[in-house]
Amino acid sequence: MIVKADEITKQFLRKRENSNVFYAVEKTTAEFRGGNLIMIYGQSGSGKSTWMNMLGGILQPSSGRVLYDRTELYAMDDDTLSKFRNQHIGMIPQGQTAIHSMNVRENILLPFSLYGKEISAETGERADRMLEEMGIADLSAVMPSELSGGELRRMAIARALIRQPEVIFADEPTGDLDDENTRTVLSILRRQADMGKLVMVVTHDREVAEFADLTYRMSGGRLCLEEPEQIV
Amino acid sequence: MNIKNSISFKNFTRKPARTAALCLLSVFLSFSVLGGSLVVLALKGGLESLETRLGADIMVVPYEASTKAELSGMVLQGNPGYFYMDRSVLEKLQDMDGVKQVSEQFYLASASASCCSMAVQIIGYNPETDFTINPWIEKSYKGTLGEGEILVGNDLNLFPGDCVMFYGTPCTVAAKLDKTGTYLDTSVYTGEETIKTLIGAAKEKKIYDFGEVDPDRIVSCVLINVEDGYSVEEVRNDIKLHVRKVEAVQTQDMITDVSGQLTGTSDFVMVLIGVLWILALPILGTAFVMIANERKKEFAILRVAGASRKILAAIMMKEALLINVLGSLIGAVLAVALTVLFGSLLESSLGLPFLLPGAGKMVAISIAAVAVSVLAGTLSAVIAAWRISRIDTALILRGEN
Repeated sequence: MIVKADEITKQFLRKRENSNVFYAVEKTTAEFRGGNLIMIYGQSGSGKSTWMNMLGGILQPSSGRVLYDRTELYAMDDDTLSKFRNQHIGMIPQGQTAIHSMNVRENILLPFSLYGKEISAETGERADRMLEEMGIADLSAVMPSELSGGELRRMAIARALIRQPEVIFADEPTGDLDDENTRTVLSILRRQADMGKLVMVVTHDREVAEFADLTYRMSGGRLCLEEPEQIV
Repeated sequence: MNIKNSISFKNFTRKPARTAALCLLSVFLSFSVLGGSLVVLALKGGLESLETRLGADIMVVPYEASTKAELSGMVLQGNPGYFYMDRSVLEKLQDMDGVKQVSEQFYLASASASCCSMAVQIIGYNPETDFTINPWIEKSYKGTLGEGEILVGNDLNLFPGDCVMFYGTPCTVAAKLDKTGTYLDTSVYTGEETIKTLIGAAKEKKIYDFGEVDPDRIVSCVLINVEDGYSVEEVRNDIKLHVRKVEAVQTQDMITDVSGQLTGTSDFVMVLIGVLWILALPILGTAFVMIANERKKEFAILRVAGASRKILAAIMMKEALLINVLGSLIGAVLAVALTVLFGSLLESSLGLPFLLPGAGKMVAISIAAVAVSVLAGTLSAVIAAWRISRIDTALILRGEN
């Protein structure tokens, strides 16, 4: 899968000194191919999450197009786009994202529950494998309120991966994790890229660079490719 | 889709405090609409039953029993009453112009002493001339009442074949009558011969001295049907003019009074239902909106996982539906149970005839009330569902909304 941002911009109406319009992302064109782990780093407010949300199909750009191969994301109506997201995009949002009325296994199976299908035996087995891979198999029936931050993050990753999407977005996936959990999470994401998926990680954490194929820096709404030696 | 696997069902069952609080409002909706409807219908049913059962145009009673309060109390609430007038009144009334049918009744109150199984109003009627009780008992009893046989009102805890003692004389229950919601339900009916036997036995066994009370010479009331072409008012005035020491009461007047009270009570009940709905529906709607606001992050996560705006709204509406189905069913069960259990209490406190609809009609009304309540309660979540469907996922995930 090739994901292309074609001259996309995002502006918000906010009070600024000279203008009420604030450009979170300046006009940008970029193309990303499957099999890569892309790291996008930058300061808070640099536009990283906005960029990721636009590419992930949950924030419409102010202008420009987002293409998944030849499919133009925001040309679809909400129903079609939502289903496309459900089937092709796995997103790991920032922070804790558990549904608290569901246990860990049900949280992981959430993308399947949305479209009213019975959970097949095969899907159930996949969820069990995923729990095993994330090291939370023994927490399958536990409610999210009983999990640690690292366990919750691994649960969110499992939920994003359960449908085996071609494109995976992760917003600060290691934000509040200790070293051990950070490496576990990044290894999981690296494995996905090695399996031919496109993985895009938005982060402050420079340690991600060690796992990334390409690194971009976001600054003032502009995206720049960085050579490895430029990353400090 | 298996409902137990649905997101809505999990939210519904795994957030018991939230579910219970919302259900409670829904209980109010269905309880008020069904309870109120049943009370209004029971009052209307009682009035219709009273109209049918009175069956006569004019009631002639001794002058001393003519105060409206006493007569109404007896007819509507079953307060024991016994008053007598000379039997010759019967012949005078028979001969009057415009009088089509006359039939006498004899009232006797049993005592709560050891001579009697229970204290009830015993009404002696003449099966040959009667035109009010016969049509009513036809369904329950086809035969002719023999001496010592009685018919019992529906509220009495007696059944065909039971034997009861009145003034030391055993009487057999021949049939139990259909419910009317009026004083007739707590009375006992029998032929005049049995009345004579009861009085005779009481005197003989020295259980009670009835003094001058002799059914051969006196009656308690005379029921009259007016000939077609004559006005009830005219006949009534004629009676008042020509028959001494009696009062002729137009039964329609009594019904009109009851009808007036019933309208007042029904209006009050309807206003009460209206007020409850005006309060409960917006509260329920606001509660759903507040819950929707609280759960924005949860819905944003669903959106990220691929839920469309329609799916988000559907989840909210399904939860509202589940809550309202449960609440409405509880409310309906409570309404039916309380109306049935405390119907008699309502009847006596309102002082109006009270006849609940039959089981079939009651089930139909309950289904309709539950449907209305579920629909209204679920629709109250529309604003919440709309708001949820419009959430800005990206902003919520950034914690800015």
